[in-house]
Amino acid sequence: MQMHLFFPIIILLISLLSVNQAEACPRLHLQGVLVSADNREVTTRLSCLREDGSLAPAPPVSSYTLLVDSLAETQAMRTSTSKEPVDLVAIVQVSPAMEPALSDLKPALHRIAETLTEIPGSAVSLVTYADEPKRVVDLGDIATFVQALDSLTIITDAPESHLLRAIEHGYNLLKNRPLGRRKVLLVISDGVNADMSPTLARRDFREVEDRMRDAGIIVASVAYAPYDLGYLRYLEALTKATGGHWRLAVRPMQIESECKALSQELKHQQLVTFALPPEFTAERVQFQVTHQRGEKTSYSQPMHGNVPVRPGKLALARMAPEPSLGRWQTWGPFAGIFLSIGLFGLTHIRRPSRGRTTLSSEAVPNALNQARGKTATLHLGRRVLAGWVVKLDPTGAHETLVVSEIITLGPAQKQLQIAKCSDGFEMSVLDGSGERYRIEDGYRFHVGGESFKFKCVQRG
Amino acid sequence: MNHLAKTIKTFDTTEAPPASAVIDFRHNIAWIVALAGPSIPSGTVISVGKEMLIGSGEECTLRIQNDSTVSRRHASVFRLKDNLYYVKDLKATNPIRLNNRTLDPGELHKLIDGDELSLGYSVFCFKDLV
Repeated sequence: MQMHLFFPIIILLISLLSVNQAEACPRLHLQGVLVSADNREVTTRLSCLREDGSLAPAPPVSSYTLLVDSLAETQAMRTSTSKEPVDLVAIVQVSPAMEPALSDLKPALHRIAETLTEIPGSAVSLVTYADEPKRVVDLGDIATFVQALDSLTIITDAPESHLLRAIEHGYNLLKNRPLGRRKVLLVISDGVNADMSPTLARRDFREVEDRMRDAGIIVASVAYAPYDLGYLRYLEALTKATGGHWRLAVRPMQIESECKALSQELKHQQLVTFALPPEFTAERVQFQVTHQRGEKTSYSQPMHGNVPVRPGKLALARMAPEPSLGRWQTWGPFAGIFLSIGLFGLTHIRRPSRGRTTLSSEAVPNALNQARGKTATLHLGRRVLAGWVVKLDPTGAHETLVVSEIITLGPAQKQLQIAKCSDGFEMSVLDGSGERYRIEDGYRFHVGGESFKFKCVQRG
Repeated sequence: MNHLAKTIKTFDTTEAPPASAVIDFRHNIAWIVALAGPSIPSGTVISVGKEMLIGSGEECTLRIQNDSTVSRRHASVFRLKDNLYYVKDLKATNPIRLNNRTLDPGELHKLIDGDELSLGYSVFCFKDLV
């Protein structure tokens, strides 16, 4: 009887373990961030992929965390599969170098078209290039795109291929597409760009990359490189910088499988929503999503976004009634007083007991980061990142003292303190006078017969 | 500026200027402060010393992990005889950006206090004593 129960239990355990394996998501691709000012929410567009580039099953909502400026953390509130329509521009190299891959290209693009028909409202365009880019199909009907694939041929007399010009062409097609649509630039190419010298190409790819990111365009590349991978470095950098997945096909038959993986990624892309931490307002901040699997954490690439000001804060900041602000006109000044009292309390109560930290030639994490996720710090105006005091030594053996929260310097009778506050650093003299001064980067002072220089990094 | 002047007065009038007030700034030192990135928490202060090798390799003084765009030996920050610090691109696959300007492979560039260095997805701020 016991043996009879034993085997089903073992099978159950194995199946549970395999489920955990399936949920592993070693590669996390962040492909868009939308900040909602009204709801104070951040919605991210994510794809979870395995190491081989295939789609991993959607992990549970509790496994996601959003990092804002690598500092504040919030857990995900909800996830869903994206139903947003896709605007896809396929840029296909048709120079003689792609001739061996042509027969595999057509079914690969067919597969993508099939997937797009399953996402309502999607549009697709075909741009081929060898010497110059040529728009074969305008951004629109998928059926027209499929018809055009049959007439796809290699341009045999093209002297050289201009990849960057074709990418620019695709960018111009996608840049003005409305919000709420996924903008994807699919590049199938061997990466050769005959436009200019490698140095200039690097600069120009970077410039295109910045514009792509600003327009919210994802570059998804299927690189066909049977011989030389060296030409692909700029295309790879562009792909990864925009949040796209870099796919490499060494053999022509791999193009179809890579396009199939891309189709699955588009079809099953997730929308993960997080609550925006309260301390971030009116700033260009960096978002990054992490996924916890066991003891390992996967990180997405970072993406920048603007966090708008809340209506209430706007009223307080402007100090003038706004017609549309409603009840804030009445309660705004009182809220301002309460907020000021709260801020004063936070900046003075959070200081721990006095201590002195010494740093010499090794990294010392900031206390704010050590407590990451446990304490909320208000960042209004400039954000403090790090501050340290250098004890100057005539022989050159300078000593560095990091201001984690507060440090005390000088002899017992004449001490002074440097403390981190919400938007900078303050120095106070411990002689009963209660004097306090705001200090800035490069400030030099003497105490107890020794010279010191204060250094700090702030942003905003 | 007034409050700074007042502070200096508070400390300097009560005692004679210390001998160490005259500092020989030929002994320059520098730090790298992490601003953003997947590997090192922002606000981390790292002393550069005479030379710092940055990359994902184990031999690097400043090791950046969880970032596939960083090469094993990506960049080097070092002090030359002129007592100034320089950054050198070690011909990594992905370029270094210094204050949003891309450095060429193998290019050597002087660093000044407050310069921002981007390697892959990591951003650092260079600070020096002088």
